Amino acid sequence: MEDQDPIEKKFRSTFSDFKKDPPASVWENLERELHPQPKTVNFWARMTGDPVFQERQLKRYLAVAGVAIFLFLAVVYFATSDRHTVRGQAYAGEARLCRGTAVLFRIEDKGKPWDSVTHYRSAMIDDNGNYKFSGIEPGIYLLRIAPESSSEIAKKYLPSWFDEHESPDSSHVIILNAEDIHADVHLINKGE
Amino acid sequence: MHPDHDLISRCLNHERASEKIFYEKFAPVMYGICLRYAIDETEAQEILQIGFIYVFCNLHQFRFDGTLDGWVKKTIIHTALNFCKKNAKFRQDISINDMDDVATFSEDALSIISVKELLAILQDLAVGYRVVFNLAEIEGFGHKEIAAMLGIAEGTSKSQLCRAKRLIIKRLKEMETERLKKTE
Repeated sequence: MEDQDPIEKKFRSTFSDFKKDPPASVWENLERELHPQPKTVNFWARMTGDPVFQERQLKRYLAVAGVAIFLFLAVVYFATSDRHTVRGQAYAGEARLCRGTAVLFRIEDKGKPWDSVTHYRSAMIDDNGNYKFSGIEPGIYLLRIAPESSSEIAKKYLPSWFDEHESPDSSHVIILNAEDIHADVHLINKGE
Repeated sequence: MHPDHDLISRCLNHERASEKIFYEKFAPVMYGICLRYAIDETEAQEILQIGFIYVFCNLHQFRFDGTLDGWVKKTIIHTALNFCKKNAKFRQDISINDMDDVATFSEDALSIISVKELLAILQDLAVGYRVVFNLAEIEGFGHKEIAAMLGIAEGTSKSQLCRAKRLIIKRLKEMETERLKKTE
């Protein structure tokens, strides 16, 4: 029998039963390959196209924004909660006034004569004679109704103060404190 | 019935616990094989992992007409060869003209060399030499078989083996010289 090459002999004898434990990571990777986990799709990552999108961070931003919006709405609500509406109809004789202007004046005086009458707000009167002032803060007001200057009604009726007065001194006041007010105004006929 | 029949059946049913038992049974030996074909441990682990994926995916092809470890070993070697082929230059035909180094080599040097050192010598070889040396000298394949496995000429296989041996001997001599220096 031919002598075996010493190199071959050495290597074969050494490695014929050679074994070594592989690191645990090999099995872990192998297991992952054999049983892949279903991919969890990050909604925000998909929406933004950013694979490392920080969903937790966005939730924090949304929470802060939500609180801010809530606070803003609360402030608006409480700031306007003691405000009221003044509404009513304007009449020219028996008919409703068709178009004109309603003007609200605020009075700071405690009694007549009115020295501190300031323009507060104006509103248009619609075709049915309706007017409306919203968000009016509590106080004492005068209301003046004027027909459209170019209209036929303006030729027959004078601009008048609530509820049917020619001047503010004789006008009734509107006292606004706890509830909305309905105030109808009748224009004064020039012929009267 | 084949002794590994139950284990194989459970693995074919993708039972994780059985797959782990299967892996733990064969992994140490197969890792030893991979280390011989790879340049380092990282590459060996990669070959081992790919090899076992191939084993589990093709387990249904095992015909129970031989030993399971033989089939797994064959699969792992096949994987290692494919892995090495990507980087190998098997077609380098080196002439066999000088075998003096083999003749003058002292066998005593071999008796004291450790497994770790032998492995390091193997891993230092160029991939073509390393593969042919492994197949011929350790696995025991003939040059005709090696040529067919690697798709090279039989002469190329012989020359690769010869060159590999010369490089191994050269390295053994260097190691012997270093040892002598240390003892002096």
